[in-house]
Amino acid sequence: MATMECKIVTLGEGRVGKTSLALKYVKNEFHKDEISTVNANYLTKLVQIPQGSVQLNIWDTAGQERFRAIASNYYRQAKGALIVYDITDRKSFDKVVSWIKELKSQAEKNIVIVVAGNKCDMEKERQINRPEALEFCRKMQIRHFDTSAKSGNGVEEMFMELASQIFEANKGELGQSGRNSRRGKITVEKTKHRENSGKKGGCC
Amino acid sequence: MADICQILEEYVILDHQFPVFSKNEWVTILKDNDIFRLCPNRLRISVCNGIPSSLRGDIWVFLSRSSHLQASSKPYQEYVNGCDDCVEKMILKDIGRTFPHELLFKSFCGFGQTCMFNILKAYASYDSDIGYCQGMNFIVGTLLMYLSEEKAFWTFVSIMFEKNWRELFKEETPKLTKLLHSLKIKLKEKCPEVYNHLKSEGIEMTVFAKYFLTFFMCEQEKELGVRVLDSFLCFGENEILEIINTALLLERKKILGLKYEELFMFCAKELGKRCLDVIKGNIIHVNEIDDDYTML
Repeated sequence: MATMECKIVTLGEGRVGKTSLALKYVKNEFHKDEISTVNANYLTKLVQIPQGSVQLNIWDTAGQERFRAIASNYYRQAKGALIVYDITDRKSFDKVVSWIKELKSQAEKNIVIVVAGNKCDMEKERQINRPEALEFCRKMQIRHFDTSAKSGNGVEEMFMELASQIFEANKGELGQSGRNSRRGKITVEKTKHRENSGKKGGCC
Repeated sequence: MADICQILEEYVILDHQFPVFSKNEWVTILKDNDIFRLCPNRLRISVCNGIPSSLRGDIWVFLSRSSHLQASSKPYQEYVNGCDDCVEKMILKDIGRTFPHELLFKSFCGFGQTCMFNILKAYASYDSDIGYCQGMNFIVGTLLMYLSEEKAFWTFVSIMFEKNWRELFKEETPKLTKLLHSLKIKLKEKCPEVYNHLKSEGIEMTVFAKYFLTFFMCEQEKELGVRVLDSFLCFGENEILEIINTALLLERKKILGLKYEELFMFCAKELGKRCLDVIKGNIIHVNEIDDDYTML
């Protein structure tokens, strides 16, 4: 079966849970005090969606504002971006806006963006109203997910949605083999089994 | 060919006419506290061979000359108390995420975490233009493994000011850009095939950024960060460039066979192990390397 290989990046303020979300999804692991990311990590997972399969190459970046210049190296040829904020931290939500702006002006034109309101297991400490977040994302025409890297809530669904939106946005290029996947382009190749998705059978 | 030998020569300790400082000699050196009286060759060899762990903290203070700073500044505690609330919150987020597996920093709000928090707060008020930036936490954590809180603070200040490392953490990270550029130039000159391969695979020099930001302190080989800091305090930033460059050169055969993702992971993770070999001067197969090199 044809596999679409694509690069996605995680973006967002420091300590919102970028690494934790990626790790939960790819390895089903959660560490309360995940070591802080200075540069970037790389994880990969093959996702089965009804239309086909997508190899998500996840580039997990460091969050601090000062490293923006470095982060830009990672999102440059990305097909998808996951912008994460922490529902218990108002400032991290404000950063989402600036990331969206930056991606719209600097990243590839058809980049798929989803937003994750992470740490939804800490509902009591919530600082961002859910309706506010949803309304904001609706205006931006971006899907919003409530996630918890700790419990796993919403994580699978979010990555699946990201994978299928990327598939839809790029299926025109599928079949034009030989393009360079590393630069975020599409290749057709045999299905590789690295970290197989499949907790939910993949097709739902 | 000449090039490769030249680079390696600096790391292969063949010359035994400069003996390593014994522990007793180090004690005397620390007592004298005059770095300019040391024989540079003996100092280099001694640092490459590893300084005695029990004296490491004092040797860092000596090499960074941080006691001078301490003597001529406001009391440390004033800086700890002068930190902005907003910055304090930012620091707090990273405290539990710095060396979470090390005994010293394991317990929440324990001794190690409290010292680290205080030092980072103090630094942010000492140097309010820079404040706090990720990466500093690992440097401070490592200093704390060998030094008391206050000495660790002044040694950190010395690294940031005397060695100008604060430019690395400034807005737009100007020094980081400069160092990565120097690394690129050096690599292009010393090992063009590795340079070309990284380039054609689309690997940016930023993959090496964290090595500068943390002196390799986030790597799996715990000894590495400590040894890099030894060398850095002694010989300066060029040493880090040389270490990375030489490690890349030594691993070039492997590197040339790697594709993008693997190559990225290799540069970001595995290279550390080779860097440790480089620092320790464990390059024993120089001839073998040269043979390989001719074959390429």
